[in-house]
Amino acid sequence: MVFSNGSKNKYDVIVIGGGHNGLTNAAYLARAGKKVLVLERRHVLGGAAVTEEVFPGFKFSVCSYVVSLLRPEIIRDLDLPRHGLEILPLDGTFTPMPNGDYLWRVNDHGKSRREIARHSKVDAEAYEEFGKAMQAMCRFVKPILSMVPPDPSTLNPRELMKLLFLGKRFQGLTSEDKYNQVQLMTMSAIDFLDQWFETDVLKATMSASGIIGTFLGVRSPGTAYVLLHHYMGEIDGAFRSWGFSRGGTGAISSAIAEAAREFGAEIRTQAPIAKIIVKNNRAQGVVLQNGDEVYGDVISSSVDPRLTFIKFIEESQLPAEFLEDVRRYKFRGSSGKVNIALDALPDFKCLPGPGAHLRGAISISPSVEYMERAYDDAKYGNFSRRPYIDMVIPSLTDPSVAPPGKHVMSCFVQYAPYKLRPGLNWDDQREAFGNTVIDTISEYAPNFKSIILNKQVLTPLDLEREFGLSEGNIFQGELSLEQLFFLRPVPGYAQFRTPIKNLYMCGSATHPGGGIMGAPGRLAALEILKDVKTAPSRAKPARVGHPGGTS
Amino acid sequence: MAETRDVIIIGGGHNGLVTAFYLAKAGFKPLVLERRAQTGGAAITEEFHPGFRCSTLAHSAGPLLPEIVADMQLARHGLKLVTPEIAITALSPDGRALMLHNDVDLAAREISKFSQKDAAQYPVLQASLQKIGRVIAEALKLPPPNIDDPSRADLWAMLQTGRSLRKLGKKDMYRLLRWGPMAVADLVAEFFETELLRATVAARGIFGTAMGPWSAGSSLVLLIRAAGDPHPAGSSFFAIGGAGAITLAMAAAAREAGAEIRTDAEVKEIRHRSKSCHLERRSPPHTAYPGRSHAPHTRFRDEASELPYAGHRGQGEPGFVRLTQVQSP
Repeated sequence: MVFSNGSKNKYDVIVIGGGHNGLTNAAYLARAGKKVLVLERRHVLGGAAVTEEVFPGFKFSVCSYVVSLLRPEIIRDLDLPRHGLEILPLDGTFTPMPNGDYLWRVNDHGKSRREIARHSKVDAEAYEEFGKAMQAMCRFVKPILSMVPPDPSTLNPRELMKLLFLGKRFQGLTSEDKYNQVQLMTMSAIDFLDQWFETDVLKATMSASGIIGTFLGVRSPGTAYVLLHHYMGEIDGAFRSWGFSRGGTGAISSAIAEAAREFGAEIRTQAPIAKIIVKNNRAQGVVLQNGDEVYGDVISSSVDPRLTFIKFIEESQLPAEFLEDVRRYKFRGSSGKVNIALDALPDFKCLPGPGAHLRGAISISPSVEYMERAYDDAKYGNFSRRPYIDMVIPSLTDPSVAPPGKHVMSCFVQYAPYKLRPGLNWDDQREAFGNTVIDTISEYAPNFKSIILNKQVLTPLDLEREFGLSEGNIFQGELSLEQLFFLRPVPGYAQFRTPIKNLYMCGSATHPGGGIMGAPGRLAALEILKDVKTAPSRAKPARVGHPGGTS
Repeated sequence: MAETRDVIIIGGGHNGLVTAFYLAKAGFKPLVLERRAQTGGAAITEEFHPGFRCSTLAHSAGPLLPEIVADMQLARHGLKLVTPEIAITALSPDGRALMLHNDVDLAAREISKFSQKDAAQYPVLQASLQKIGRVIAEALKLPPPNIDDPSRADLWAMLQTGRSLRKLGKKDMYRLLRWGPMAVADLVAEFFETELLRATVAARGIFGTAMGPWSAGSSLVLLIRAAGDPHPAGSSFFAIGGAGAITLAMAAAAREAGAEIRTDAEVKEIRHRSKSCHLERRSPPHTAYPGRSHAPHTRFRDEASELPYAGHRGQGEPGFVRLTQVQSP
């Protein structure tokens, strides 16, 4: 090993947090020749993209369970397939209905059209057009995922060019797409879908993508954008495709970690940090919880802003206004996860027996009203009595994750508000929450209770405790319009830099946000490299100054 | 019976009357057609019980733009506006009341009975709303730009809006960008701790919409209202004689300028020669009919099949009807 700074405990870059973004960040920096150390609190890498053998023989993607947004340039740059990444297709969404019918859409457009035509001929027509329109929207928004957000408050020509670039792209859209884009940015998912479709179950299922990770309902304005965010899924250039990673989502993190190690990064697990060392407004290193001090020219934090700036840094080191903005940053976790070990496959009343419908996503979203009622409960501090559930059974596609003949099932459940109403707490409610999920599924698959071998219930509080996701928000902060693009995580600091020199952010709390995308980690690495390249031995001070001045 | 006019305005509400006035001023001879027996639309005063006259619908003079009052010389036409000392009294179920004066310092003094912190924050919010409101007010005065195929004037207007946005300074500019899409409940929680004050200010964000205070985007409603009036809770002012007095003065001004106004004159149908209809294929609804004053759905839903632009959902054409959204609160 080469010690570029002569001392064993001195690194070019220390990355806090070994989630997929921290690892991506480390890999890109190591690839550029930097001496990088990654510090992960848990015993296992991956953050929320992690596979764990929760029950003997049953491996779960404990938190994040499907993949689609992982940036193709990262897969290429880091050569992830060589490091073991293999994406398996997740085909379709199956929505059982209480009246005994179902809606089953698959990637094959013709098939989906025929299926939708069973419910409504007009909608089958519209589905085609809708797909095309969304693709156009995605094409417009996608380059934004790979760009550093502009700073609209400066007159710096480089920033103005970025704004001009966006304006030009917008003018390049067709008339119809322009209005669609404006609507997508402002409307509710249901208002948007209402313009296209009449089938309630279709709208309900599609609108579900609009609320994931937000504390909003399908009728709340702003959810149409989140719908688009999830529509952008792309694997190997194919739009709208979602997949499993062989071995669970942890395998993605492992592949990135392997790439980082190959480039020379050092990765330590079970290394929780206590403080970021800041002197003269310059980040210099970290103190581990065991008291060890590690020094680095650059500190890159992939954990969320609350941990980075409130837990790890003294209040006096930060400008008051910046701190105020960080405190205001909204997390408000709204979902939980229930992982279930199954002895056999669930048998749905509306489509009995095993079949291809179990290989895709199974969505409990029978009607728009059902979805909105689920939100109503959450608004007043209760988990939904009948929640929206998105289930997958990865063991059908990837048998390596369960003992022969047995299965694992991942259930994403919304709403489960982090803040319960006064008098309730999650430690007491965990069991009831898990039972609600199982009861809900049993209404559609009567054999369900009898095939459960074991279950793991993760409430938002558990996500916070176990995975360091403040308030249990799966995206490190709500994906709401006021927290996106140049406003993420706080106004004036969207370019991965912070008020403290040499301290950077590289997690999902930065642009373009959550999901196993890797984009924040990569973009932050490129920005760090820009700064250190211009000052070879010492990282250049943060470019974005705060109006509040120094601290 | 057929007559020909250069401009016909359907609906004699306050917007129809203002349109008629400006067009008449510009040398046109507009004809205003009102279905009811009196002009005024939703800004009317009626005797609903012998001796009791009431502003039937809109009951405060709302954000009436001062330059319109000046241009139309509404005072000369009999309009008298009064501003009560107390803008709003919020009642609490515990028997207390929060009286918000139009005067910000007096309002803050009242608030201090509930919370010192909130009393200090109230003028801060007002100052910010005043600055941000000015930018929005400028934008409100302009016709919405045609984003599809912007004209030179549209681009210039957008540039001006962008400039005034930047002139706000970094803090308020980011506030405007951040607040716009937010829920008004979150906005008021950033400033106040008193639930009653939060609710009173947040009420401005849901007024007339189908949203709740927790709905994202309700802040924008508050900001747009702030363009006319920066007091956080809104300062009310009234017309002597009720809201109808405003439209009476407007009708007088429009007539004096040369407009003709007919009441009891319901429009049954808009005739158009299908291809030469002035509804352009690629224009959004708000620029298509400069003289429009009806809610879009009554105008376009009924006649959808007649209009060249009324494509169906999902058939390649965006569909004129689809672009406009009207919800009753």
